[in-house]
Amino acid sequence: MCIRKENRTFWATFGLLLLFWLLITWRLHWQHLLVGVICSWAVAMINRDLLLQPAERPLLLLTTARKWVQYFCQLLAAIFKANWDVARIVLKPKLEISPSFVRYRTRVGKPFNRLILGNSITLTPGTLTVEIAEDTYVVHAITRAAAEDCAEWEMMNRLAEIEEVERGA
Amino acid sequence: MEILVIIFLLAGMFFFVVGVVGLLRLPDVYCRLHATTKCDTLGAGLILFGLVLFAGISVDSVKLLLIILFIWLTNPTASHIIAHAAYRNNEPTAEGTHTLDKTERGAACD
Repeated sequence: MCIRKENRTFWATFGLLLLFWLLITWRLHWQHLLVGVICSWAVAMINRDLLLQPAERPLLLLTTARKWVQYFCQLLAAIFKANWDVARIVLKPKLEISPSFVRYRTRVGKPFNRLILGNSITLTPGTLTVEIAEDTYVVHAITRAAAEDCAEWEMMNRLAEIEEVERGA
Repeated sequence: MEILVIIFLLAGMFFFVVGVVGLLRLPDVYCRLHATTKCDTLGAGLILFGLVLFAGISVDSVKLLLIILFIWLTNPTASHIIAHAAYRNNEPTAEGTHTLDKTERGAACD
């Protein structure tokens, strides 16, 4: 079967949904498979207009795959470290907080990458994405230091780097 | 192995306790959200990961890993929506909340 280029996103979504279905049913009986195929196709079809087109999402490239793995490992490390910091703040008898809003611009361009950045900020304790409007983020941080760091977060540069690589490819 | 599982469960519970203490002690909506997001990310993450270790390599552990993945995807989204709603409604903030504006500097960097 020939897959047309513009339909690739559709079939990738279909494949992902089917994989998820197979993982949660964990049976390869033909009836299960049939239901899975029909449902995945229907869901992908209904949401056709909402699927992320290549211009809006990261491309699946071997060159960036390593960077993505690195990104998520680093994010995990950041989550552990920040969790520890917030736990210390909460448990200290005297509350040493200096809540701050910080408003800044980002170099990250693709909508999906901005979503990932926003989610990463919220997942990391101590910072919380309050608003994203175009390239401007409003972030609430529990201490002033966390707010200062957030505006120049290295994870943001990582995402921007990945986009550079994609543009070059 | 069981000792490792217990360590993970206890660590997870520790973060849940910290989350609840934070929820009670911190002054405003935003700060409280910081405490509760922490619960969900590390607390639930560690407890579920302990269960993954307990289940060993099996169907159950795959499903548990999927649950972790979905919690980590949906939790920040939900927290963001709550914060966004509070921000839009000009929810009162704690005393001494600063606002730093770095947009001009960010533009200069580009």
